[in-house]
Amino acid sequence: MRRYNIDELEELLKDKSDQYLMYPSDRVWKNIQKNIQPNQTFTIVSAFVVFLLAAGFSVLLNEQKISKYTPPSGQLAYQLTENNWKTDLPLVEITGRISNRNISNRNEIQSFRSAIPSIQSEESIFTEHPLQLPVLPKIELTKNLLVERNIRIKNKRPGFIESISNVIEKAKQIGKQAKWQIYFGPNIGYRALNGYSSTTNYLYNSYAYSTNSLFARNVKDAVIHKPAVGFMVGAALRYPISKNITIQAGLQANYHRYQIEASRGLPEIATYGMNNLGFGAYPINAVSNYVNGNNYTAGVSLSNERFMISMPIGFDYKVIGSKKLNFSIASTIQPTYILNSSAYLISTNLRNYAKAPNLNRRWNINTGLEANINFEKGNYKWTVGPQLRYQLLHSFTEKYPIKENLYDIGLRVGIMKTF
Amino acid sequence: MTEEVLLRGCQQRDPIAQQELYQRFSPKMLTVCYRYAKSREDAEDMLQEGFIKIFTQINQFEQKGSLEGWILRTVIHTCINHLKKYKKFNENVDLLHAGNLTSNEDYLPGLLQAKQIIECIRQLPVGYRTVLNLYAIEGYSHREIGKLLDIEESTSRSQYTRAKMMLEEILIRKNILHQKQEQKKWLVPVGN
Repeated sequence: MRRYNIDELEELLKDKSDQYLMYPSDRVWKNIQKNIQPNQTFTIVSAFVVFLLAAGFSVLLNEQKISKYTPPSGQLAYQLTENNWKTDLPLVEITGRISNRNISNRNEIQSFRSAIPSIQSEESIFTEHPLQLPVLPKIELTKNLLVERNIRIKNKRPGFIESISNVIEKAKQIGKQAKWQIYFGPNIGYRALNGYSSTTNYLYNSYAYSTNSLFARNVKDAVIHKPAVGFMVGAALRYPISKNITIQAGLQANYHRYQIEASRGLPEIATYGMNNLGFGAYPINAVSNYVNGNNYTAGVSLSNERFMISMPIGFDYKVIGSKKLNFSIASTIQPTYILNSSAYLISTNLRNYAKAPNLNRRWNINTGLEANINFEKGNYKWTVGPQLRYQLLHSFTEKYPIKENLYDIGLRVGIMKTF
Repeated sequence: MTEEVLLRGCQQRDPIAQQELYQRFSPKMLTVCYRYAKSREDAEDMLQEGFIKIFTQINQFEQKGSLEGWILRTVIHTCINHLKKYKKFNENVDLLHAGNLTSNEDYLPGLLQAKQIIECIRQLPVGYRTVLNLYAIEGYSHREIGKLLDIEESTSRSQYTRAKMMLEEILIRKNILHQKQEQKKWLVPVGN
């Protein structure tokens, strides 16, 4: 080994630092792989969803094309002239026998043969072998060949396999670019309430002239309700379609609630008069232990709770900022299914509260508006911002004259892997 | 696989290209990490973190320099960030302590000189060895080191001077370096 002089230290370090190699243990590569390869489950699910959508769309388009070009069954007529012969049109396989007697003019056979290069002789037309004919965009009955009724037309779809593989490939690409965001956050649930204690459109029970309804014609003025804390959690698959716009779709669970002030009382019959929607209006009765309004002696807070699951679909628009830190707004439409509902409804005389499960709507549509601050920290992208969610359809069926639209304002925190 | 193909493959997140890149550069990069780390486990953690960064940020590589150079810089920055979490770089170490620094491999004559030198570097206090690695081996200027480590440029200079002295002493004891005669005279105690 060469001994270096003391003033050659830097040279020694440079020389020797590259000479020695160390080999990492297997766990290093395994851990790297875990981190850089996207979550397989998410990828498969994403790819599957995208594939289904793409395949469905592709099939839909294909079906439209087929229906456009499929000749009618039974006797078919083709005008085969050089003008409308287009070799790039999709091919239709025709099997069957062309009847000699139906062909009125031998010259037509000649034109038919000259139009189809693969037909070499007149006999070949009358064989059972399939012929390759172009599907013509327009079928005219002028100069034609008549083909017997039992001709079977089968679309070979020569590009079908390729289109499926293209769809798969496209789905893979989208699946790679699409990223899952998990989000959650607390919210304050409340409701917009509307409805009048009018006698013209629904029925009343014997308590129609109760204290509340005498002085409060509008239900808003008759009830005491207050917001309560709920929760939201969800996952969205996000796919950027441009520099500033990202589309997103996912699943979201919401626990929504608000509270109503009432008083305990002796059991009474609460009657829910129904709107007459053209089929007659029959009131629904329920036993109620709660009277509207807090009388300070037997006051109780009733909690109207709903657990719902929805599928938010929408877009996110980056308003300003860089990739690392930006401000965006987002909007979603959320088809919603109410999994569980525990709601007290006010009777239509505005006196009692009781549960009337039959009046709850199971399906609804919500809309969401968000303003988000997005920032990257390490390998994760965080999204924080307020969200307003508003229920577009009333909580109860249209027969119930009092209209309730739920809404909540919450803080939404989202996290997404950036690789 | 050429470097260009390798790069394109990694940019398209091709697992085969990623593994190839890792296999090609990981031994050298682990040695780099090892020079900064306090243990092999730490070095492997740094390497892992560095390669995750490389694979996730490879689209940012602009091909202005070599791929290896970019990988090296990414790994070095990862090492520095890793060390920053645990250590301040502007701490001073008393040079008197340098004499107490020993190597477990003093009596293993069969080891390669290169490995011995790396081990000697690793005996230095973290601040010293980081500046020494960056300046003497990686070729960073003191200004760049100052920015990288959030220390003054002058601190980087003084750290380097002390690190160098300390390393010289260790290497002399290991017979890798030898002193010049006139220097030896300075070091001989009076009375000998």
